[in-house]
Amino acid sequence: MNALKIYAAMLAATLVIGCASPPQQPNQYSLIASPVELNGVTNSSLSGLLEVRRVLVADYLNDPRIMAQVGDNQLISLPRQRWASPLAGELSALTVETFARALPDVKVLAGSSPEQETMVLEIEVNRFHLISDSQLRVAGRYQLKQPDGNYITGQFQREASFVANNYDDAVDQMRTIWIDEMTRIAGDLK
Amino acid sequence: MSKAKISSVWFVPIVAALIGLWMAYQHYSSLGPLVTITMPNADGLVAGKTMLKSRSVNIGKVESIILSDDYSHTIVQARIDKPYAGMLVEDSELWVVKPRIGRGGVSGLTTILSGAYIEVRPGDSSERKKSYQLLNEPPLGDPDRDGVRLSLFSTGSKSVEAGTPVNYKGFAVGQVEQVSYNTETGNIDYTLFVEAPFDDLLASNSKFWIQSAIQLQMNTAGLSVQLDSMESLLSGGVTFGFSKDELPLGKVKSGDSFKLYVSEKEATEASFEHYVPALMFFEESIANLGANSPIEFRGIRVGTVIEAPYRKPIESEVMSKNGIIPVLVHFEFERWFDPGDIPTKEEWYADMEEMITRGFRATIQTGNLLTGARYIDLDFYDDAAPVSEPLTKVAHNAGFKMMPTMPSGLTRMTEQISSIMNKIEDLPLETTVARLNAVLGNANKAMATFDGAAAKLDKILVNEESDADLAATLEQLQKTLATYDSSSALHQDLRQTVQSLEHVLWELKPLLEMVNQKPDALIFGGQVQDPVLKKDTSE
Repeated sequence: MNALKIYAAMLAATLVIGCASPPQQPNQYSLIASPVELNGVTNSSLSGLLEVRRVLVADYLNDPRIMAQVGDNQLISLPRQRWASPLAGELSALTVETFARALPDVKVLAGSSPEQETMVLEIEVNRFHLISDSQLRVAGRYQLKQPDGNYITGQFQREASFVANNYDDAVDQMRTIWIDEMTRIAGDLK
Repeated sequence: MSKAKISSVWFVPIVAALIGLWMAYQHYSSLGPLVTITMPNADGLVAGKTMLKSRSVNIGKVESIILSDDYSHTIVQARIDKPYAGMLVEDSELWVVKPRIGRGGVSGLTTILSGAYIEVRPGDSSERKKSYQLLNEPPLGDPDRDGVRLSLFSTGSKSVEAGTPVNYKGFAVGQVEQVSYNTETGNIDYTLFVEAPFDDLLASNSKFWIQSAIQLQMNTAGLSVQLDSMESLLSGGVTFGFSKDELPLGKVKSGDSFKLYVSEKEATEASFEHYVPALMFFEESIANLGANSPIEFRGIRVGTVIEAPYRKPIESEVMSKNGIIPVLVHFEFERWFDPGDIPTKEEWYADMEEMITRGFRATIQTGNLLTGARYIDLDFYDDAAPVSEPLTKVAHNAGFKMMPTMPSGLTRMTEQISSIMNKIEDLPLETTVARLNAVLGNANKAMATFDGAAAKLDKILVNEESDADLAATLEQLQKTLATYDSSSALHQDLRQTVQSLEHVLWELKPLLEMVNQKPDALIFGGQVQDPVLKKDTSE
């Protein structure tokens, strides 16, 4: 009887091992893998401290997988296309680097500053996904609190094309859009 | 024989006798009539010396002065000169002229030296008379003067004496000739003479009043003092005129009768002929409100209180039960309507009804704080109570319209204060105060505790050793807090840890979704293929 049980257990294990699918590594993408190269003129008239708060992303975008819109209101995730780290952190790091390059005389801080004379930038992303096999959309809004207490607010929404089903190109386009928008915002600051 | 011969000696005596007889005849034939004058006493008269005069001409002489048989008066016999015998008629007047000081001034001063005399004023009658009653006072009016002689009456006490001048705008135009008391009517009767041409100023609607040198008036309007001339102050006077805006009507003639008013104000107020009566009912004291009290609408006099309280019997249970006092008033239209715009009684009652629906009420107000004089005020009130139907009926039964009333401001204030006091009485003050006391007691204890703690703290702070310890403690606290600063290593480590945890959860999200959808995916694996995205059809 004992031997029978052992054989049954070995058979079950073999079946489990045999039916298990081999592991498959997903593709991982990062927005900050490459250094930022600005395309616009920098805003060299501005100086002081700029605190860039952590970018807020919509809950549905806070996912390791790249999201895609397949209907007017329907989204799906791409299990094999993932972000290397949380999107909010990626975008925050990219924003800080972009502003630092765009505002050479401004000290751009990634954390909070105790100084009273600090500008504080807050960005919220509500669209950062694919909309077809070759189209993507990036959208959000921002607000900048100036040292005198006034606020500068604005929105952005852009769409771009990428090589069909080439997700690397898609991520690159997303990154380009973000850098462009951040550069534009930096240029509007006074 | 020889003839007797009358001696020529008798010629002279016979001639003398004839002359004597002729002289006696002449003497007695030239004597005038003897008149008998009766008087209370013959003060100032001397027999054989006192003259009789008329218009300063000697017309006779007193011959004898004797007492009457009953010694109650004197009888003066005077001889009037024959040419003037015709003056002694039925209505002739005789009086003694001697120094007199009266309202009209001083007269008869010449008799101080010449002695008193008897003045004779001849009458108009044709009947002869030989005995007269001497007048006590010289007659004041000259019957021959042109003018009108009027009869006046007053219902009050005697206010003017005979001889009081009648003035018009400062000019003496006549005088009061006689003053007497009429026992039948109870009035004081006056005879007043106004000489021409001033009698043309009179008309049948003229008003006569007593002219006072000083007029002192205290009423709702306050104190007013009016002074006239010194002559008026000494002699007084009567004057006349018309009411405001009144035009003279028909001419007067001697014998016409007028009322003599005490003052111009009374004369003016007596001229309001267009009025409507009304009854007002008050549930409060009407002290200092009486006849002639004014009725005002927002400061304008519109009527007069006639009787307060109204004493005609009005049987009413509602009045006697509630102590309601009726007051009779007149709304006098001439006071605020032009003569041509005076409404009829019906029109006024209709207007009054409409105003009453809008809250038109009467209240008693104090007009003069010094004298306490009160008046009735009319106005519109938003909180006017509804009109009392029982009282309206009472007024109707008495033959009057009712003007509704409201409590006076003071009464209302008193009622409101009373209401507030009642509410305050109903408040649970004792319980509230007891609770407050308990709270205060606790607060006191807390304060005592706080004081103790503060004292201890104070001791600590004052102590130098404590200062050093406190400073060292604060410094240590700062160092400790600095380790948690955003730039500190600890803060960075914590932040890293949180981020790692967040990363782990973020990684777990797809796994949890997969297991949720396909529990055996842990063993047999889940979907690993990307779905096919739709093609871009925008081009």
